[in-house]
Amino acid sequence: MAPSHLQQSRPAAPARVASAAQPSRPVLSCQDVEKLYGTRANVTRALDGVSFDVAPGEYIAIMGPSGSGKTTMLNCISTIDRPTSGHILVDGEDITKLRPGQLSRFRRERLGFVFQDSNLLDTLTARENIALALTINHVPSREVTPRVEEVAERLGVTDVLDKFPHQMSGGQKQRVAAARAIVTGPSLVLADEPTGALDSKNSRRLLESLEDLNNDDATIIMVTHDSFAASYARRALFLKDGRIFSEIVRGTKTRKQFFDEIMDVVSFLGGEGADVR
Amino acid sequence: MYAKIALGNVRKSFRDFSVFFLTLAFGVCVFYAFGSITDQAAVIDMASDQRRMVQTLTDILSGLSVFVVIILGFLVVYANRFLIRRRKREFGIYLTLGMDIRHVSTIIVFETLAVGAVALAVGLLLGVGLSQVMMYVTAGLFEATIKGFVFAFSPSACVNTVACFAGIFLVTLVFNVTTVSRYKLIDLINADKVSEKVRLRSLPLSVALFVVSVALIGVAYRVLLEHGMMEEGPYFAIATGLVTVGTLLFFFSISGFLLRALQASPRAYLSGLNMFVMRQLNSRINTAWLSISLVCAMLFLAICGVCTGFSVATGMNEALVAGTRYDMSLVSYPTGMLGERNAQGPAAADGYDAIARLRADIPEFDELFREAVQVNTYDYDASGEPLSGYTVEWFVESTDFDGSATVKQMMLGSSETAVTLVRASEYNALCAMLGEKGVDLGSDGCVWWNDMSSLDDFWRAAAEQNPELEIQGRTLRFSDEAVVSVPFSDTGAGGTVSGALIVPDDVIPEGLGPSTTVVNLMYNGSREEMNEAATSAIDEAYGDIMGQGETIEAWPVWNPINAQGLLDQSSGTTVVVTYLAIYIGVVLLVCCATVLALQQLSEAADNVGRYRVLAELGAERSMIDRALLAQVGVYFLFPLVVAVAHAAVALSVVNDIVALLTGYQIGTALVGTVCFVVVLYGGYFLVTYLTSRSLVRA
Repeated sequence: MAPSHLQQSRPAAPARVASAAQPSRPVLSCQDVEKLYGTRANVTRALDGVSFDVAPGEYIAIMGPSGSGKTTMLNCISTIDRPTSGHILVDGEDITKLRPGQLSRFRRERLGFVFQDSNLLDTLTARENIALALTINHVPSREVTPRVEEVAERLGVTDVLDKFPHQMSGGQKQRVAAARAIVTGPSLVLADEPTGALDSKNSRRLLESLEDLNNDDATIIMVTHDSFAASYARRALFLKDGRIFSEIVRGTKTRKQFFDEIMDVVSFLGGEGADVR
Repeated sequence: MYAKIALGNVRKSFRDFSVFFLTLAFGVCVFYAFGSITDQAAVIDMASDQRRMVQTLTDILSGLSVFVVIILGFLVVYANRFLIRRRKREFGIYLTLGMDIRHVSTIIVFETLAVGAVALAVGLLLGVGLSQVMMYVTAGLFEATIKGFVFAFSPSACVNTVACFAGIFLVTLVFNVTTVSRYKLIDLINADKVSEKVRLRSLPLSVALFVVSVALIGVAYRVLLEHGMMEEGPYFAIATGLVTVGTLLFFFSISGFLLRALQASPRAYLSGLNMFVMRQLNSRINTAWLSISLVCAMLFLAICGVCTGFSVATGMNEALVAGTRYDMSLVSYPTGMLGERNAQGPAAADGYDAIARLRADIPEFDELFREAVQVNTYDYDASGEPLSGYTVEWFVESTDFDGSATVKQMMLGSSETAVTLVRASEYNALCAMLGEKGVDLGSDGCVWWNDMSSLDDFWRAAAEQNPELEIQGRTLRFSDEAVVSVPFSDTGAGGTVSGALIVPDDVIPEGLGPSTTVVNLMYNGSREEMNEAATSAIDEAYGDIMGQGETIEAWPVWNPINAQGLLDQSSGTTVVVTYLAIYIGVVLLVCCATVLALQQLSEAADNVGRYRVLAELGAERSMIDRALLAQVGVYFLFPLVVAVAHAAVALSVVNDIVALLTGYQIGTALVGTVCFVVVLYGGYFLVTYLTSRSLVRA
């Protein structure tokens, strides 16, 4: 038997979900995004008309079981993949209409990525990994070092700056990756299962770092199937079969309360065990 | 079933196999084409002298083949290793499916056999085509003709090729099977995940080693340039040792040094993908420095070999034009070749008049020869004392001459014997026969006679610094034009006289026995018409004394030289040297380029993940392409630049020797060689870059 508040907060999909406190212009606006895979005879609807907005300075978690379309959603936002139909606007610019040449520019100027496996370049030191995001962006060389050191300070990785990835712990690597993601001051930070490869202590450390970044006005979208990780966000979106199934806003609730609410939705969806189905 | 899997594998991953395939096919093609030279030559209509040359060429080539087979074998095993390494995970899957390691080996055996058999067939086909082309080139070089269209196929070369490559396959097979059976399942399954551990070397150490390496190479260059190759003592060995160690250290430390140097300038280092490129190079060079050094050494050999070969061949041809101005030269030693100073021989009986003796012995002398000039050189007076008080050594020591190490060495080695004297009237008669201007010495003039052009400068300096000589109680002064260079006799080498002194006739006492007598002759007709008759007339008259017994008895002919014979021989030598140079050069060059290409391709395949990260960070495609180009470029360029530098120094020394022997400067051949290298090597570079790019983009 599902808890009662769950039914109340469940909107009719694919209705447009508006954030509780909507400021002037959203950083990200997804409008009726569809993504089809396969041939005509055998079509898979990975995304089936998803619409939502993300306001500047928001921190949202996208949750859902395997195959719900959350990674496809993230790939479409990050321009790694292109939706079949619908529009995705970042800072009011429709990224589904960008040409290949403009895509890399868009990625390096507006987006920051954090992946499950940190994806640091193993031939470069932490300092160089972070600096690379800047040099690719043609940031003048004299600005590079101060900016790298400032962001390393914020994420507590100053003392590993001159180490190589294989000399760092998993948690340190992820925080360096996070530093690399935000050093360019992107409009959106996209995190794909950032705690997936970490133990609980390091997970908490990373999530606190992301929370701090969000408090400093970074806009973060995190895809995760970990309810604990999602409870650090300000809002959680649930995807199921390519549609938005539900949305919870943290508001003034404590993180513990928010976590309990998320767990309720997750168990209603079939529990985290649904992943293995 | 295993055969089916194997063939399927080859079909599916054709691109991976293509490098292996091309390497094999190339090897087979070249091996067959050069192995079949004897059979190609069989259909060409050529002189017997030239046939002997072809036989020499064949002998040398078959000796070289051992060396070439080793290089090609190494290449094939290397290409194959690249293939096996890339497929570790696939083998792991076979094993988890329950296959025995023996079955996996069976699959590999089938794959290698399939690719090998096709490559062998294709290579042979190409080889037959190439040998067909070579046949016409050979004919052209020999200035011989091929009547109509001829198809030459050499069964023996074919069998040899198949046997050699079957051997190479066998080695490859054994290598594959042992490699695969040594793998552990866990390593195979994790092969894709385990990232290469980046070994690091301290950067200050790299910088220090780099400085040391450059210093070593510099010292080696200096030693070689100062002492040349021919000077006795350990100099050449020292130079070789230093340059070897220096080159190894150079490649060992260069990437660390460049990294450090670039880091010193944040503007350069923190710009675009520069630091990524530098780190990439630095991470790979740790394992690659040894093979890069080897590649450099092979390039060096290829450049030196091709260059020296071409210049020796060309030089000989040019020397020959200068060395065959007389139709025939007859050389004899009237008082004994070894300076016996014997005035009792048959020459003395004839009053040392060789032409009169020839007329007497050969009835048809005047029908055969239009003109004849006798030239004598004199060393000793009637009592056996040197005519001139000066030795060549004295001139070398008393002349301040700024020449190359090789020329100095050559001059120092020259004898303590007295300077040879020649009568001006005889020299002028020679000039008159050739239509050249003679010398006018008056009663107290003299000039140097030197037909080795590379020594002109030395003799000029010697005349300038010792303008007056005391000879036979007379004071002689050098003329303004102190060196003259009409050839002394016909010769296939660079020259025959260096530093003989031409003096007024009366300086040399009347009736003295000369050390050397040369009769230079012009035929009464063209060389083609007259050569046969003239040589057989000489043979008939003097066949029993020429070149045998005591030199003093062989009057008036010890050694007959005819221009036509020299020319015939040399065209063969040119072909031999040219082919050897091309064969070795091409094999080494292609070998180097293939090793580099394979290294870069496997690296690009390993680095796909890194380039994807760059793309995700928003690096533009053109930026990534540039980074890739820089990496591939460095790998190709560095060994080439170092090899060219080494070769330039080594060749400048070799040049002195070649110039001395043939009067030909290597520089001309160097330009051609470098163009040849750049085209072949550059082609490989381009293909490697484009293939890497498509690997990375996919």
